[in-house]
Parts: sequence; C-alpha cells; structure tokens
Amino acid sequence: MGKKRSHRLLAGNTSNHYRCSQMMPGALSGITVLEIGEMISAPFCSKLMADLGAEVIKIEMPFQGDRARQTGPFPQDVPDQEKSGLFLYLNANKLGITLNVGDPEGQRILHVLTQRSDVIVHNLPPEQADALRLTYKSLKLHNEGIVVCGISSFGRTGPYKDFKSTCFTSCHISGVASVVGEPDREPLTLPEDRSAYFAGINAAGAILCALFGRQTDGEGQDVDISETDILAGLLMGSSVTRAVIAGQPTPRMGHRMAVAYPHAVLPCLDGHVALVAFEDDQFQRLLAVMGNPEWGSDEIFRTKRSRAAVVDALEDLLLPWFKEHTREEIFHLCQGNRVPTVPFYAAGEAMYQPHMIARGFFSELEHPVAGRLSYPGAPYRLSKSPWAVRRAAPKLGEHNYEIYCGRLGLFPEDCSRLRDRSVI
Amino acid sequence: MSSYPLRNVRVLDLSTVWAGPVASQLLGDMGAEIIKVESRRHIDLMRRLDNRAMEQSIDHIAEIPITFHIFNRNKLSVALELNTAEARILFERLVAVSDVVLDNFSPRVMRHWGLTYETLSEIKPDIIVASLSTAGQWGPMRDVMTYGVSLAAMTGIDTQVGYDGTHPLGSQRAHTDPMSAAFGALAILAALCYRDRTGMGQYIDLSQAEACSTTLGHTLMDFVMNRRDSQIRGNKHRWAAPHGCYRCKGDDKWVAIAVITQEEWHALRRVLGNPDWARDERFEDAHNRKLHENELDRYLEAWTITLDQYDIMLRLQKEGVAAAATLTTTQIAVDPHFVSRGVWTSLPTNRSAIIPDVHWKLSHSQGGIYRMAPALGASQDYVFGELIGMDQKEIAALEDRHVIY
Repeated sequence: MGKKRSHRLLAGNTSNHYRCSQMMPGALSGITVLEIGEMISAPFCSKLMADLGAEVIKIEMPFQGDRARQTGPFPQDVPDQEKSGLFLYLNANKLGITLNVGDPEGQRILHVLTQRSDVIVHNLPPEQADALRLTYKSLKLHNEGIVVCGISSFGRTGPYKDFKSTCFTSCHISGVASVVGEPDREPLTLPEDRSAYFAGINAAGAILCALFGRQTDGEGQDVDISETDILAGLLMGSSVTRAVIAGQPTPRMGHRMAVAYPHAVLPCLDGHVALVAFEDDQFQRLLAVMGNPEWGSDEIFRTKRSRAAVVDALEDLLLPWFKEHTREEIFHLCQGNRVPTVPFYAAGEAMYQPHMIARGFFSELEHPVAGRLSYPGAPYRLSKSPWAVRRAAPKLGEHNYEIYCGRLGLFPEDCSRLRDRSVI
Repeated sequence: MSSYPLRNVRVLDLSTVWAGPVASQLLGDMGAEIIKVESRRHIDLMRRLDNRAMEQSIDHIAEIPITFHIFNRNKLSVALELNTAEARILFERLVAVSDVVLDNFSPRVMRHWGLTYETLSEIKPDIIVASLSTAGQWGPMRDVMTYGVSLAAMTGIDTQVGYDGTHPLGSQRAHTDPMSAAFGALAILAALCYRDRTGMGQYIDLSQAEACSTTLGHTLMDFVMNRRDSQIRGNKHRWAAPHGCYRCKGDDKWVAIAVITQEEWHALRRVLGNPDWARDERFEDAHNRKLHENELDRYLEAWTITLDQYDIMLRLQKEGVAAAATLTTTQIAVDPHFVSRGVWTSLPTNRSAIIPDVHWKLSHSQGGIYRMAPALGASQDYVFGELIGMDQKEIAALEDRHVIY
C-alpha cells in the first residue's frame, strides 16, 4: 500500500526537515525532488526548482554519471568529469548520489527514495523509462502522492514516441527550423540545445500545477512533457494558426522579419544591429537620427504598406549610414530618439555589458575541483523568497554517504557491498 | 480527479502583446481566473492586428484577431483608464479580492500610477505582484526599448543563429516572448507556493533579458572558462558529421539528419545501400567525417534529393538514426504525431481555425479551454458588479466619465 503524503503542498516528511524549511525563505522549501536526468531538459527543470529552495537529489549512474560531465566546456579544453561547465551550471544546488535503477536492489532503493519525495523528474526515452519502471503507474504504488514528470522529445504517446532525437532534429520536426534562415537555403535549428531548456521550464511549471492539484485529494499524477509539443504548440502555435488560415506555410525571410520593414539585421561599422523601425512614426524618427537624408521624403517610404513594396531598394539606401557608425553609436542615437534598435552582442559580450554587471546577474561559486567560477544567475527576482544558490554541483556520488547511511539508515558495510556490485 | 488545479487563483492582468498575456494564459488554461485590465486608449496590439479598424475589432468577439484568441482564451476583460485617479481606486478595490497582479509595462508606468508593490501590499498584504520587463525594474538598461526579436539580439541568443561564422542572421522570431512567459508563469507559481506555506505575498522582478540568458549554459560557461564566445555553426555539430539539413524531392522540402555514433554511421550507410563513396577512408570515423564534412554533405544530398522527406525520416529512424523531416507550420498542423498528441484544438465559433490546446498535460489535473477570448470590457458586470459589489448606476456613471473606459 502506498504511503500517503500530506495533503498540503508543502510536504517535508521529517520534523527536522520541516523546521528547516520553515526557517529557509526558499519559495519551494519543503518540496523534495528526485532527478534522474542527463544533459539539459530534466536537469534544468530540477535546477529551477532547486534554485527556488526545493531539495533536489540527483541520481546518476555509477562511474559515468550524467553525460553532461563529458560534453564540456572544460577549462583549457582538458576533459575532467568534475569540471564540465554545462554540468556545473545545471547541477549546482543539488545533492548527488549514484544509483543503478536497473538493478533489482537499485529499484528497491528507488522505491524508498520515492516514499520520501514529492516529485520525480526524468528525461529518459519512454521505452527506457518503461523498462526501468520509472513511471507514475509503477511508482505510485510506493507513494500515492508522487508526481512523476517525464520529459522526452516526442512524449510517451504518438507515432514518433520512440524516434531517436536531439534538440536539432526536434527543432526541425516541430516547425521551428522551417522559418529560420534564407529562403533559398536550408532551414536552421535553434543553436545550443535551446529547446531542451524550454522543455525544462515548462516541465517545472507543470510540476508545480500538479502539486497544487495534489492539495485537493493527496493524489500525485503523471506529467508527460514532450519537447516537440512545446515547440510546436507554444513557440510556433500562433504562426501555425495564421498559416492554416492563409493556406500557406510561414516563410523564412533571412535577415528580415516578415512583419514589416525596417525590421532586420544590418551590418554596421563594427558588427551588426537589430534595426527595428517598422511603425511609421518609428521610421520617421529613424530618418531624423540619420540626419533626414533627401531620399527619406519620398512618398513611397511613408507607410508600412508602401515600404513593403520597395524593401530591397530601401535597405540599399539605409546601409551606407549604418556602415559608417558603430553598434554603440547606433544604439544610443536610436534609443535616444525612441527607435527600438539594439546591437547584436555575442553572448559572453552581452553578459559583461555594464547593465548586466550592475544587475549582478552572475553569481560566483566555489567548487572543490573546478575552483571558483561565475555562473549565470537568477531568471527572476522574488523579493521575499529569492533565488539562491547554496552549493556547487555535486561530485559524482558526493552525497552517497549522507543519503544512504545518514537518511536511509544503511550501514557503511551495506554501502560497500552495493558499491562492489555497482548498484551505487 | 482534481481538474483545474489553479481554480482558486485570481490574476489581475495588465500585460499586453505576447510575453505577459501568455504567462497568464498558461495559468488560465489550468483554471486560474485571469481578469485582463485593459484600456480603450492603449489597446493591446494583438487586438489590432491585420490592420482592422479599431471600432470593428474590439467590441465584437467575431472580429477579434485570431492571435488574440490564442493568447487570451479563458480570460475576462474590464476596461479601466488608469490615468484617472478614480480608475486607480477601482483597481485597488480589485486588488483587494485578487491573488496576483501581472504587468509588462516599462518600469516607470506602475510607479507613475502609484501602483507599486508597497501600495498594493498595504491593500492586500499577501498580494503577489509580478512585473515582466525587458531588462529589469532597475539598472542602466531599465528604459531600453526593444521588441522580442531585438531583445534576443541584445542577449546574444540570436547572435548564434546563422549559417557560418561570418554574420548573424538572427532567428527573426520573438522566441524570447514565449520563453519569458513560461519563466513568468513559473515564478508566479513559486510565489503561490511560498504564500501557501507562509501566508506572505511578494514582488517578482523578471527581466526578460536575464531570464532568457539562463538558457545559454554551454556558451556562457565557455566564455567564463576560456574567454571563447558564441560561434555560428548553422546546423552543424561541434565534432560529429554528417549533421545537417539536406534538400529532398519537391519544392523547399528538407530533412535533418544527425549521425553521432559510429553505429549510426554504419546504419546510415546501410540505408544508402552501402555505396562505394561511403567506404572511403575520408569518412571512416567521426574525426575524418568532420574534416571532410562538405564533401560528405554533397554525397548525402545527392541521395536525399531523390526522395520524399517523410520517407527518408522513417527509413532512417527504423535503423536507429536521428532523422527528422523539416516540417512547415502548415505541415505540423496536420502531422499525425502532433494531432494524436492533442497539440491542436479549434475555436468553438470557427472549427476550421486550428489553435494550440492546453500546453501542460497532466494526468489528473486537467486544464482546458472553457471560454473564448473576451471582447474589451465585456466582463464588467461580473467583475465590478459581483466581485466588488458596484451597482449598474455606478458603473454606468463611470463609463460616462471615461473612468471605466
């Protein structure tokens, strides 16, 4: 019979834990999450929760651990499973244990951990999750209130559910790539596995809704997050609707945005800018910024509609002025005259702009092997229960003793035996 | 069965366009009561799309542009001219019976109206106020003007989009909007959890630039560790090949193929019929395939261009190779997988208008689309009459004076 957890959203299960969570200001203090994830989507989901105060226990396979430990980036490009930048970033604030959930003893340990948790989040492919009995159907037998969230490329159902996929193929199949790139060249994916982050954010939101749902009757549930569903429905949804009505697929426009002109990436003296001046009043103010060139007074440039007919010619007229000015000059001149144009910064460059430094966006953490590093910080600032990073990412199996012996009451000899058998 | 998990949450939503409204849409789809507080003087851009005449589009549901329908289904609407003191007093009376206030104004607006967190929390101590702005409520960029696409450029997110190292194309999509919306919904949900435990509300300052920057993990850590910044790679992989998008039979038809392991390379070769070129030593391992990537791509495209994109995808997937047809927006509307997943539904008043369904699918806590997007101000009888007990005469008088407007 499954152990029923408290009906409250908050579900600390020992009085110690509850007292701690009362003292701690984290928004999600008192919520315990088990993460069985690799790379980005599930780890980012549980990171979001950990950073808001949930206790997250990350379960990794013995010896190898999360694949992200091998991807890097590494300092000076020297691989080290304790120094992978992606892993360190995504897994700060978590306790780390090793456990082979495929082993029968590993399964029993998982069940005990399940009894003491509110949420399990994983990103195993559905077939593998089923084989490991890492499903709501199986796990609810051990904890009626458990919320099990699986994040996968295509979800647990549907004709593509067992397809092999990466963020790259997900972007292509979900309509995202078809609208990015030059019209006569191949469509482009979103870079750097962005879609996995997006899936993770949505999973976290859905999990919190599931916890609210649990308040009514104490029952947990299954949350099935498909990365491609989220891309197709949430990222591309409004475009799909309009395309179906228009009877034509949404086009790709290269360096220009479809809506109106000017709304484009233009080269300038020292890089590129995102020129946005497509509303008529914005365009007039842009002309003023450019010193009111004579060609600007031509009737053909007066309205959105008329400009749309002469985009190429207009761009040729704009380019020379842009090529004579730097990104900063264009940025300040335009913003000063209410033209919403901004420079293209590379990501690292953007992070070290004065306003990011002033906002204190980066936070520093000391890691026992990787040393002191800066990490991207809070996506939002909550005034009373702030985002906070309390500890660096765990070394592989770092908290085995604390969890197995300290909390589950195993003896050190048991742990040695399990280690010898590669269960932990 | 505990449907609509957020049914006890009321949100006053002052936001417009995309990021804010979708944040509240995500909550409204799960049952929260979302009251849009709108203004006839500053009408939501999404009510004005398609260049319709203003009078036509705002007062009749049938004339509401479809995008507004998508982002604002399930919501209620009242019109308040918050530039008048009387309207602000009415707004404060609504705050007294609400749980969350959401806006995406530039920072000076709410301050100018005196509707700060300090003021609102005096009215309702456990109120949660969430502000989604471009670059935060304070800081040197506080007053920067951006649209979603330009925001992406400023954070470096879009700077990585292009074919090669020469110049960024940008995605030309305001992906930062739905991304910020999801972060916003999550932050509000977290604040509701905190309130559940402590009884306290709070203020949420969400900078869309910062929120979206947290998705740049690999790039930013490479910069931190090695001072190496974004590289434009198109569809290519850091070290694996073949990895790209190849032209197929037909007009503008493509397929994405990602071969990462040696096993997958062998599988691909099998599907190709083991041609001689594929046995060349130039392609024998990952390192060499990457070195000769351009030639490899040419050979591969000579094959894909003779075949249908779905056909290639199915054949390669059968052999364990990650391949995906590059589908367009009209294709994903009818693709059997997305249809079976319930990604789409349709407008009750127009069955041929396909719209995205509830995004968060939970087994017990169903969300749903139970109400169409509102006409501007359409819910005032319920909101002003029932929620705060005003009578019809009062309401009519305030309408005449353009306070309810």
